[in-house]
Amino acid sequence: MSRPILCDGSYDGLLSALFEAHRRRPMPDAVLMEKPEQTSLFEEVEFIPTQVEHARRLQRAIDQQLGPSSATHVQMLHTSFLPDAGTMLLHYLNLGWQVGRHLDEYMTHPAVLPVHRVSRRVSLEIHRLSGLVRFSPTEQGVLYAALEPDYRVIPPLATHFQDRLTNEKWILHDLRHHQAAFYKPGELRILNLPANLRPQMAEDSYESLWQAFYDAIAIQHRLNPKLRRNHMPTRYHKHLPEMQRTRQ
Amino acid sequence: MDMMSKLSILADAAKYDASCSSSGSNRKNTGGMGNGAPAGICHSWSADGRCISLLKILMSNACRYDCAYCINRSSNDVPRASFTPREIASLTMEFYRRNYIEGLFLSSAVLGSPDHTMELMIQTLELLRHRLGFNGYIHAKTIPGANPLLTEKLGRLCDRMSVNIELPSEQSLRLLAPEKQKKAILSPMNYIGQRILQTQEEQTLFKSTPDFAPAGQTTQMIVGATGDSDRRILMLSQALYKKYRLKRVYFSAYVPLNHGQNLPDLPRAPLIREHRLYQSDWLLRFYGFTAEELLDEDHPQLDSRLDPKCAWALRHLDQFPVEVNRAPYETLLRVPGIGVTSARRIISARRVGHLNEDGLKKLGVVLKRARHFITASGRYLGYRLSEQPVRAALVSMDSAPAGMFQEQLSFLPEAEDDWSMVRRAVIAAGQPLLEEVKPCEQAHLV
Repeated sequence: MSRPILCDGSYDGLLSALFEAHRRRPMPDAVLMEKPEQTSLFEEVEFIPTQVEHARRLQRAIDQQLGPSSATHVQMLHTSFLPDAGTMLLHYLNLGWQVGRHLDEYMTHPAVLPVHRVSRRVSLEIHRLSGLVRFSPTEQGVLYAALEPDYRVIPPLATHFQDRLTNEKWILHDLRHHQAAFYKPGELRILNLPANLRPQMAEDSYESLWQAFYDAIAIQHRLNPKLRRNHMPTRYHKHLPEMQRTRQ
Repeated sequence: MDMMSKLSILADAAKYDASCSSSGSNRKNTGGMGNGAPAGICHSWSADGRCISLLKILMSNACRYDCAYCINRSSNDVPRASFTPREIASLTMEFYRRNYIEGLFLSSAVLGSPDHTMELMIQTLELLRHRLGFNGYIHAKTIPGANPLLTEKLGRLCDRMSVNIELPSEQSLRLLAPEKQKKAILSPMNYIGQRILQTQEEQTLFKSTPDFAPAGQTTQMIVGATGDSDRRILMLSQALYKKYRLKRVYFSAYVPLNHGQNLPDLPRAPLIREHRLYQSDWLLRFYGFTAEELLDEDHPQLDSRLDPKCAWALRHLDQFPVEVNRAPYETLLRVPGIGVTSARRIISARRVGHLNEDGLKKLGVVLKRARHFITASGRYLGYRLSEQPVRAALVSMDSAPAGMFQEQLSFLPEAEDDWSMVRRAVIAAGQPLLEEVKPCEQAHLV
């Protein structure tokens, strides 16, 4: 038994903490990305400051010894921000150093199975939202999209839109985790932004055109609300203009 | 006419085109707006459960032809409208900017002449690609009977092309679409196929060779408007995949909108039949089956109560059970209930350990159907391997989904093409690996 360690929540911070954890004997019980709410349970949490050099070294080891799919799983687990994500990674990497590039073949192993499960869910959400994000113009003419994802998907989504809406100015705002990406050509910043700080939106005639298109494209002979819900869960409807009307 | 009414009319008129996939292109953003996503991205799902990926509209629905099955036939009294190239271009740009869509699917009724219609479409795409710097996905339909030079021009502007074959046989075509000839449909298809192949070969030698429909070509046929059998439809699809290297053949259940002496009197669209055809189509493309294996001359129709793989397995019980720890990939794919994902996971996981029933469950392999056909570490997971009980078990679970009763089934599979190709492209692009994401696909696989 050894006391849990805590990092600052950044990706490099997580890697630094995992790096530190591997050096300690015995290894810490947990690697945390956020201060736990019930401090009494974890009174002796030790904070590990981010050390870019350590993060680089661990990243290199993951890339070279475990391979690209494992590297992706590590990223996805960080994006998930689940309370036990860091600890899951600790066990996962530990097995990895023993089996090397075969790590992701151990799909039924208790150190691998949960990592794959979380990673799959996170990448599904990123993929889904890359389609379901809806921008609309603000009074200042900037494109603004609010979303309430399960995981902290702003950084990967911002990369996606950076390649796509390259000449635009836009803001992606995660209302649940109070995080936002601000983009203007040549510059992307990810900052904390409270949910109540939202810009004034302009009237947008294309929104009603989109709604008209959405209604016209459905084939009335084959209405199937259940199938629609399977693909587009209700929790995402709030920020979809096509689902925000009385008639659908 | 205002934009709103035009859009409603021309989207409504385009909705019977089944294809909406945006996959297969990794077009880069060259300083304008948009790029391709090799795996395709769905942006919304309409009330019928089909995904919306592209702004699917007609250039015009004022058709010169009078094909019996078509809602836009010239003898129908429906509101008519036409877009100008500029209108379509600005709609596409504004929708794309708001992330409503992945790109444009442009088709058209025959307005005046095939050549004139194609010229309008080309103008639209040129405006988008060259003036507005649009690099998103474009799927364009070629108009049968147009000059090959126009097909060439269109192919250089879009990502995917399609020519609808409409009906599965020449007799049916004569009966329902007397103004369309088989040759007029097949010759552009052939041309596009040749050009895609040629471009691929040249691009390996000269990187600067301009793209020609990099996401390939597809086609669509209507199911249930004529007496053609499932066997005929599948044999034709197979031939199209082989001969013209099509990416997809779409099936569209005939929706009885029109009345006419040559049209069948169906109470509703044959959605289950369409669903079974899609399942078979998947078996042809990803599971190594041939059309002849699925249906022979004595049984030309698919069983509506059983999915085609189960039906095949029941006819070949002598090949089962298979041992999951030893069977090669191709054999695993033939087990009902095991799809590409499960088969890959089994192959990968068994390299590092033996798989038993519990292990299979942890891998996410659904044993509902598969258990009747496999052994895991030597243990048979079903009850008794003989036709009657297994058939009874499979039929009862297949009719289970509530949607079946209203003949409402999941419709269009979106993710397609070779998944490993997508994965390679994603890795090459340095993107996070979206390994398990296959939009809309899960619901459609066995």
